[in-house]
Amino acid sequence: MGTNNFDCVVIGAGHAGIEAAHAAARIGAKTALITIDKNKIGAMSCNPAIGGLAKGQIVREVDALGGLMGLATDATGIQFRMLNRSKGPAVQSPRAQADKYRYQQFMISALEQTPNLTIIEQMAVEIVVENGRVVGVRCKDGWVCDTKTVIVATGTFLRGLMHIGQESFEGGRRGEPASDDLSVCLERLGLVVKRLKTGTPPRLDARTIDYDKLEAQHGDKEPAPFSFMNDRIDRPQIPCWITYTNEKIHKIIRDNLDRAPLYTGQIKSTGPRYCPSIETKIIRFADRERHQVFLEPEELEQKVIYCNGISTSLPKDVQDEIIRNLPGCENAGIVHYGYAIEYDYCPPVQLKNNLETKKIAGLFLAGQINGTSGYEEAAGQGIIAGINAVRFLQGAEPIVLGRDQAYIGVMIDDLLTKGLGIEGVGIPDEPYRMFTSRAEYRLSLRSDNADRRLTAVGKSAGLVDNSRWERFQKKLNDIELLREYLAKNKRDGVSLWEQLRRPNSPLAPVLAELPEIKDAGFSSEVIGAAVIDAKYEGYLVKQERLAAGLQAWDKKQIPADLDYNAITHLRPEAKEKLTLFRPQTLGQAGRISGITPADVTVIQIHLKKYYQEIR
Amino acid sequence: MYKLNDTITAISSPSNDHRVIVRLAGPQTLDILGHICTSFVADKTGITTCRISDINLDAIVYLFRQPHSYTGDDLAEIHLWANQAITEALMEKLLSLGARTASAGEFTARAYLNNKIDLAQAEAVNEVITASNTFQLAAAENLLAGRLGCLSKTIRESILDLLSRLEANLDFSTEDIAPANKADIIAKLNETKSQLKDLLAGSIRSESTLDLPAVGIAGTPNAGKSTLLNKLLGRQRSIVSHQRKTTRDVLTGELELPGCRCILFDCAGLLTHAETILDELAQQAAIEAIRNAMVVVFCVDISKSDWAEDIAIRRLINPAHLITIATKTDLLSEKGTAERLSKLKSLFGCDFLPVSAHSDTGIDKLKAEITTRLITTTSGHTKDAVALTTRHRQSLNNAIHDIIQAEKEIKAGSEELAAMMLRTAYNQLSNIEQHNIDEQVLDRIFSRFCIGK
Repeated sequence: MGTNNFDCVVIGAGHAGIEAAHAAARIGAKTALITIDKNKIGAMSCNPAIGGLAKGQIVREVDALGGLMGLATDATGIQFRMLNRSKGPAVQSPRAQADKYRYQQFMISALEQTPNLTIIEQMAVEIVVENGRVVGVRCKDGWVCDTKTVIVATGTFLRGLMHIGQESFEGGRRGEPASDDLSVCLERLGLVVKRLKTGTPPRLDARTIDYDKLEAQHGDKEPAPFSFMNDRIDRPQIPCWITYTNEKIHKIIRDNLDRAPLYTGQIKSTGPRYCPSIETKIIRFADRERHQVFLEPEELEQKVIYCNGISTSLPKDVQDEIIRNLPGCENAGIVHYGYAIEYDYCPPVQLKNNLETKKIAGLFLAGQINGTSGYEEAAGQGIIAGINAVRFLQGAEPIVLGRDQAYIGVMIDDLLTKGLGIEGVGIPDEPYRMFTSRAEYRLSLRSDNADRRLTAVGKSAGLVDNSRWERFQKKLNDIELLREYLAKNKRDGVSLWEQLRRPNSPLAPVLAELPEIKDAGFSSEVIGAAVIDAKYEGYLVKQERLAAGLQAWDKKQIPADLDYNAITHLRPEAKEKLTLFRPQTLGQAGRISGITPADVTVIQIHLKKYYQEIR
Repeated sequence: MYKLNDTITAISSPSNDHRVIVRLAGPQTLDILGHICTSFVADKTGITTCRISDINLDAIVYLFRQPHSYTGDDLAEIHLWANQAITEALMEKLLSLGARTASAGEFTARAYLNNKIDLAQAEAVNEVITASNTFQLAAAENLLAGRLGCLSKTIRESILDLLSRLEANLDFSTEDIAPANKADIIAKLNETKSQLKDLLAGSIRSESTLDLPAVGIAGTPNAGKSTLLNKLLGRQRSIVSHQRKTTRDVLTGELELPGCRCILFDCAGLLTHAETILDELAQQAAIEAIRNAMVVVFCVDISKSDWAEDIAIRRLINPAHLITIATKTDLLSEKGTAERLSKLKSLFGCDFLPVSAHSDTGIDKLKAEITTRLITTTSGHTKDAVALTTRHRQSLNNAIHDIIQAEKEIKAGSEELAAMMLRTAYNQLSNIEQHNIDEQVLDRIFSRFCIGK
């Protein structure tokens, strides 16, 4: 290594840590990535898939900013599907099954080739802080490095506690140790730490499954790449398989609930409502005769199958029984049993909008430690934390994506204002997952325009290289040319653009076939972009009204030490909430539930006085 | 949440004044004026006389260009002579063009933030904002508990329900859940739309005096009816004199009571024998008005000695709710009043409430009595009607429009656009800002559908 002096140290090499370390190093910071096991970099602890509804948009956003997730998925995907293809473009999302081992290999080699980045195989146990600022990281064997910034991206490893039946054991992930020391350290630094729960299903030996009994689910004939840099996917595609649980399985589960840690009190924290265990599904939806199970290959060679739909922490013998009664899997061998895991997270109200903790300067948190769920959500936070750690070092303004700019912006703002982990005030205690319905600017935050939304941001952060920028400029230029053409040229007295604006425009599907368009050589992405722009143009005004244009409020900063109790005209409820959330901007303040526009006006007037006094 | 720099409007003249001043401030001021005024020269600062096309009235517009205005924004004051109905029609037009109703103190808050006034002035306004915020939250709570609240809550619930079905189709389409049935959704949308229309149709237009419950003041000539009316309304409405029969026409005024409003009318003296044609016409008008009244306050002058005419007139009218009062008690001693009250009781067969408009005796009791009668009244449509402000009505109209639009989008297969329309409709119907609509929708989805692979 030669040195132990870094600008930025990233702890954890999962989906958040990868993007954070890659971004920081690429922008130019001397970066260390500390991981317990180098071979587990980019591991998919849960299902071997990237993207999905709303998440696919996030992957495209990470890609547009200059991240790795999209490139890795394109290079290792084994089944690509565009979800919601029959619905509006705003809610279409790419999803892919990835070959999880090749995905890890891709990430390892991408990180190894990243300049300024050192991968260190260690277990970090302490963040060294002096005078409220990060100064170093100490590892288990005593090795210490100096750094001005730390990004903690430890996933489920902090005080990870796994459950299979009545058995529970410490660990961050199957076969890997938990990291308790770091949790203790965070608490000692004054951060509040709470618990969340998630779970995974059993994995089966792919060779022991009877595929003749199963329904196949194939990918798209023309797979759409995630990354703006890729035109197409040439890799071989393989199907997933669908089977269903049945009454017999449900009975087995019901008969064994007294051994289900979720129902015996053994697991204390709450799991996500959008991803319940099979035992929860059977209890909560007792009238359902069957539940769908997707059998998803974890790699191209199909050695291991992931049973998407039966996440469980029931005892091993019960899991055996379930699989024995699952059509197509009667003779299947279980490679790994399903388990539930409880882990520590830091309620994200403790963060600033650059993902730095409010308490410790230079300490950033990204991924599941902030109470989120999902690889994509983690990657989105990772890249922003990486960028902002460097900006912190440079003394530059942080890059904060707006709610109107990116799902990543919606996510981080939600984390700061929805009160996850604040009892009685916030949203339900469950890992935060992105849904398109969370975005009030949904029509603008599409997977097809992530490049147009964020490439310039990635460029200003220093993450977008020339080849991407030039390619992007060409696309922008082409869209503009096409738009002009469509606006100028008429058919039956109506401009082509106007015709495209109509609902279910008959012109939209055949636009690419018009001879003059064909001759001009526009790419299908460019034509698609123009068609979608036209379709939604008229609705954007309405969207603006709905979202109430909060940009102006988001620019109004609130000092971190503002004493809300001293603002005489503020309602007691507002004082209490604002003291709890300590919003950074008036926009954030206004989005806290229970804070009225009048409260915001009162703060605004107070702030003006405040600034006059300190001047 | 509202924008920092949008265009706000408010009526800034006293409500009982017929010279109306409507203020408009913000970046859209010039645009909006251009829309409502014929021959408005947009960049002209100062005073312009123009015609407001929609309400067909002349107005004087004082335009102040930014930053030389009270708030520092482009600001206009529209001065016109109009009644409340016309003023509210103008407000509706302004709102539909993109202005927003200013909240209490907002013009001044802007003035302070734009460096137009100093802090001392702003602090005073802060009081107003706080008080009004507390008041509005309390009012919103009352409203939620009241009939309008119940109705709009039911409608909001059905919108959330529809929204959760649509959003489940969008966010959880890969799950094994039954897709929302298009025909079902459309049927439910129509149902919601007609609920909204009923609410709108059944509501009292607060400025439409015809729809307010009427309370008549009846009695013999010079029984003190006009004095009482003026006392109750708190201003001079009819000419009062000691000469008999000074009030010729049915005169009306709007009376604000705790929890309800009504139209109070004083009528031409009822006579047992009309002396002139004019008397006869006045008499007919009075009887007609009393027939439409929900409550009649029957006045008897307690200071006179002969009540034969009063008894005759009392027989002419037969209202659903009658409140009998003895007026001019200030002219008698306490003892005298008591004696005469019992005499009146034996003559008319009912209790009389002693009242004096001059000494304020019994006025509050009378108001309370009117309120009770109005609230308990079982006839007429007030039972089902709810009073709406301009803003509420505008919101209901917008919501109906949004739902019609949502239906179109569903038919065109654009669920994401229909969902957006339903969200705006929902927001229109929310009294307090709803920040957590997505959480509410998700709650419904998770409780209804088995989500999760």
